[in-house]
Amino acid sequence: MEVTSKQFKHCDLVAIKGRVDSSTASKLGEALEAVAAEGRFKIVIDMAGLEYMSSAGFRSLIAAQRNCRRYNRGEVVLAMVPANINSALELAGFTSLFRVFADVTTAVGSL
Amino acid sequence: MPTTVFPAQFDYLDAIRDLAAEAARQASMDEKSIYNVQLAVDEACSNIIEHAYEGVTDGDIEISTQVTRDALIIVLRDHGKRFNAEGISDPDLNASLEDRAIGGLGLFFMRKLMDEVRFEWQPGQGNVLTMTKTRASGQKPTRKNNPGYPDLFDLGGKMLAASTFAAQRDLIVETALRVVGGEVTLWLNESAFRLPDWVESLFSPSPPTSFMDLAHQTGKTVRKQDEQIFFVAAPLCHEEIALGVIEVSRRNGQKFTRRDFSFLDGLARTASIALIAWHRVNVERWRLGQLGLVRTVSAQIANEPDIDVLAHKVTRLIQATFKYYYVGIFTLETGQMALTFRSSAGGATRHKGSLKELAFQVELGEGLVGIAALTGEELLANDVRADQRFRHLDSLPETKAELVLPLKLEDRVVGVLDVQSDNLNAFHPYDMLVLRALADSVAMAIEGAKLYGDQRRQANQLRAVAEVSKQITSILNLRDLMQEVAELIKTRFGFPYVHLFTVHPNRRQIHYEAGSGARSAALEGYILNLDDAEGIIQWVAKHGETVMTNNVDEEPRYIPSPLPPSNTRSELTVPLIFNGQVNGILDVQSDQLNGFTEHDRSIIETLGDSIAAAIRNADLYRTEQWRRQVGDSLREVAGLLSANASLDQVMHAILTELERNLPSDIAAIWLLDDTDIYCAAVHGARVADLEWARANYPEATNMLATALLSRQPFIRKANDPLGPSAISAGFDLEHSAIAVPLRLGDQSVGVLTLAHHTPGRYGHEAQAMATTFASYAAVAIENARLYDSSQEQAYASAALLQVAQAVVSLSEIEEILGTIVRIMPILVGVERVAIFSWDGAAQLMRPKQEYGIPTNLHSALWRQFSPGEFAMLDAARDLGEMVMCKDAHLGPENWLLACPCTPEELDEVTHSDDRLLVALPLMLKGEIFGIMLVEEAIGGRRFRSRRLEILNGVAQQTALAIQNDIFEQEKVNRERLDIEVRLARQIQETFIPKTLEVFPGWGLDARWRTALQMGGDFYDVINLADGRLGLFIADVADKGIPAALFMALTRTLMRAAVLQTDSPAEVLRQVNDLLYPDCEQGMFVTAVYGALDLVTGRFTYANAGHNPPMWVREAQIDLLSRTGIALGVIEHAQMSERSINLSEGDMLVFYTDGITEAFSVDGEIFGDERLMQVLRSGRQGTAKDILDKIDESIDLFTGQQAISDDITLIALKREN
Repeated sequence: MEVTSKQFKHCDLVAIKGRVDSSTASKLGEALEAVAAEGRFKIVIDMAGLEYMSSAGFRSLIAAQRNCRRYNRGEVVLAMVPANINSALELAGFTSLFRVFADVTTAVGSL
Repeated sequence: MPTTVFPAQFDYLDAIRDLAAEAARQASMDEKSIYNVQLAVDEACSNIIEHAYEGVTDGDIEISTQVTRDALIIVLRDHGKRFNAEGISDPDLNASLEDRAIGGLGLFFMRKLMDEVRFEWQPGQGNVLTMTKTRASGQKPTRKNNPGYPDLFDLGGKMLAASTFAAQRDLIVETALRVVGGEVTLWLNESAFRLPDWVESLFSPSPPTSFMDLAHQTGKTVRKQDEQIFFVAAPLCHEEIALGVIEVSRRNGQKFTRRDFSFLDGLARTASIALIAWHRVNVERWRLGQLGLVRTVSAQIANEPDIDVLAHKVTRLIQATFKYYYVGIFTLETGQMALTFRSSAGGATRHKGSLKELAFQVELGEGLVGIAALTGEELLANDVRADQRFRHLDSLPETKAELVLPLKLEDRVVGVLDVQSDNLNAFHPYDMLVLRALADSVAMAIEGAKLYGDQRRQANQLRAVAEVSKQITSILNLRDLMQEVAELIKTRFGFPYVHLFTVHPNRRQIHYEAGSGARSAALEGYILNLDDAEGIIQWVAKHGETVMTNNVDEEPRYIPSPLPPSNTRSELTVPLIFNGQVNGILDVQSDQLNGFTEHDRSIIETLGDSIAAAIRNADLYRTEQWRRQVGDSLREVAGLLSANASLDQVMHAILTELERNLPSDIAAIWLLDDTDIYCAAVHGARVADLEWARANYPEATNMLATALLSRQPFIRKANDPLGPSAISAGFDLEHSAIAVPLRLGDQSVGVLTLAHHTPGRYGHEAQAMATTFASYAAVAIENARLYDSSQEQAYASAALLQVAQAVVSLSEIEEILGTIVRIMPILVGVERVAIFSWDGAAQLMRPKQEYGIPTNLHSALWRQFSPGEFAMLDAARDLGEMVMCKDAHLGPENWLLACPCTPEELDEVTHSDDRLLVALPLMLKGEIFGIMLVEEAIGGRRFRSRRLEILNGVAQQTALAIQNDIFEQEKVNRERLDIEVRLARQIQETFIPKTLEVFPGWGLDARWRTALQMGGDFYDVINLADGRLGLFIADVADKGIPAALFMALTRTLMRAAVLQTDSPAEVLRQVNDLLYPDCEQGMFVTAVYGALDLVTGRFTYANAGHNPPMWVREAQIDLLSRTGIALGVIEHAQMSERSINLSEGDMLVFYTDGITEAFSVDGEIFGDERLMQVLRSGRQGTAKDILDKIDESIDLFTGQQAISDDITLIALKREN
């Protein structure tokens, strides 16, 4: 798994590539925390390159979302979610917790 | 089955997923399914690594895969911790972000993504997880045949194997397309298949077109042609149940053939049967699932001892499982009129978010819940708006349907399960079946929990009882014990109003001892009468039976008491019985109706037994302590026997020790003095008040007399006459008193009395103790008395010694008397003293010294008294003995009226209780010097005889002092006189010629002898001019200094006068006139003056009232008699003179009355005649001779006796 983050004016774009499972989820969590630690709580996660995500990855997402939504200071949104992963998100009931966008531009614009 | 082993590490998840993907591909699964299988296996392994091995990295995971005709089976084994999937519920997917649980998602994925997930565990083998993924029909390789009946047959098999409703739909549509062709529309009646756990919704509630609806309603195949389009709709039904409609349409004028109809009909039948069969299987599966749920719920709640936790779990489980809007549980206690809310779940509203807990109270018969509880019947309201019984709650606004299930055990309702839905007609019959089963389980569990709770509560209470019992038995102070008990009951058992009393059968009282709560402090000292007819506490104390009343208004024995709460509604009163005797009361009150249950009663009664035992314990301890203290006290008193303590010390020590051991307001010792009893010592009152009570109330005297004469202590009973203590303190008829005789052998020496203002204080123990004390006290008192009487003797001597000392050491009588009156009150115990002196000459009593007479009475009392004015003084003086009067209490203002008692009354008065006024004569050898008046001090009767003795002694001393003083006075007088005489004599001597000149032819001699009481005689011999000689003799009519001074004056005047005139008469006249003004005090001078012509012998003289000089001639003696009155008597007195001629041998003798008035021993006077005889017989002699003779005869005549007056003699002789 590979995580890259990019700072925009009013939000951050975090791109995940590869597979997120129990062994790599902590890395994702740390990357998201690092963004929030800079006082930036509006985050778009670009999942275009994501091949796989287990519940461990979902937990990192939830933790980041909680942190960012606190005090209404921001939000984590998802973009370019692959179909398989979207099914799992739906199954886990995460679609009500994250706004999902078809492309990164719309996602960035929504924040 | 190929098996691969992986280390249990996250790093191997990639490889594990690859293995899973490979197996799924072998099973010809599509990409989505492959992904899902990967995900499920990943989650399973993640769980194993994380939970089974808990991060330990040397474990391994064994993965086997198997592809069967219908499914992919993956088996995972590990040797980690046993995994229990039942404990993990699915995450709440609807929960908000904050409430969203982090865990549990992996297991959820496994269950959702795989068709079967099974966990097993066996010792030695570890966890075995079997996951099955069924291959979907579409994924099977399909054969491409000609359409026909085989397709229909195949359809039945396929449909039975399909897992979802959508798959059924797809199979039917696919088959219809193949065998009939055209456009196929299928509508299925979902409600006929719907199971409660269905979430998918594929079809609208009614057929999409009216054409299809026609087929559905009629149950017949219908056809129509619309332009070039041909329609046919065939119903799917099974045994009158309309399952759906299938419609086929063909465009382009392609008509349906008979074969098409036949096929369609067959398809409809086959599909119907298959659907029904599939549905039955589903129902069966669902039922099994529901039974599993019931089992799960039952298992989870069966062993839950806490009803609230139980209710919480049940409501959560039901709400989460069935997704109902609201689930609540109420319980009903036996005999209660309202349901108790226990727990609820759900109730979230669109507006308010989720409610934590909806708690409310429901009366029996109120709303659906209340009615169900009352009737025990299940109630279903499919539309609550249409149900009159429904009670709308604002907190549950979404409720549209409600199902209320009574929780019953046999016919007893123990609670209600309330299920509400936000959908109309929400309760599927299957749901209701499950809910009923659950309700039964819940009812059992609640009953179990209740029984367990009761048991636990009882066990807790019994343990509390045991602990309280243990705690209180170690407290030995009754007060502390009671307070501790009240507090313990309050804190351990939660009864807020607890009060404890002790019962005193002897005193007929119930005493408040302790209570819980702030207001209890006000009850300190609260006492109930045991004999009151009313009152629960009194009744219990008398009957020894518990009274429990859950409504005091219906309890006839109840009377409102000051015990909190003021609004008592229930009361539980338990007797504290030990050994059959009620020794206390435990009273618990409640401000609630029905405040106590039978269980409370048994608990409190059990406690009561322990408390009674503890009270008894404390009582015994107290008694033992008391005994020890009594022993100490007795030792204390016994110690006094050997110590030389005074009577007062002994008595006060006895009273102090008694007070330590027995309740007493007034403790007194009365002693017998001669014949009467008096208060010798008292604690708690004044002696005077007790004496007053004894003297003025015969019953008080009687009580003392009775006690004195009895051998046993006398314990006063209520309404007995009052004793002196009670009278003086104003106790009522109920008070307690004990009187104990102080006996020495057969003799009573006094009485010991104790009094206390409350009734029933003295019992057998007090009697026994008082008797012991009294016997010790009697000995101690007698000892002290003996000691005191020896002290008293010493003291009397000391008193007299003091007085004697004062008499001896002081010189001034006033000082002595002043000292005596001042020390008497101190030494003898008198209130007032007055000393009068008796002036016998003036017949007056004169005040000398006093003590204690009020100043305002001085003008009346402190003055001279003549006889007849002051009876006491007169009587003592007349009788020469002490006199007494018993009216001293009337005060000194009445002393003058006081009458001395007669000798007959003397004895009575001496023993009177009244204070005495005593008058003591101050006498020595029958001579009275004065009176001493004494008023006794209060309590004068004590030691009276002794006191009177001392007073007599003091009087004696006083008399002695006065007599001494008189002697002293006389001595001083005498000395004064001596000096006076000496002075006078010195004066006289200076005037009396020391030597007499010798004149030729003449003999002259003189004698001057002064008496003790010196007279005023003098003489003078003056050498006159022209050779004459003046002779002068005089006697001043006085003695002492005045006489001497007068004599000096007279002589000076004489000497002056003779210079002025030759006439003796003229000389005396002049002297008279000059003396006269100085002679007013009746003083006068007799004198003779004569002038002698030494040549011729002619003697011219004047005699102013003096003894006539004697002219002694040969044959006769002539008297030269008076020629005038004595000098200084009258002014210008007549004075003449005479002349005689003295011949040779003639002799003139001048003398004063000291000669003629000299007394013999017999009292005979010397007289003129004896003098003349001496002169006659001695006329031959010289002047000196004759004077010697006269002296001689006078001495002879008077003998040893001194002369009483001056003697002056002059003798003149004309010698031959």
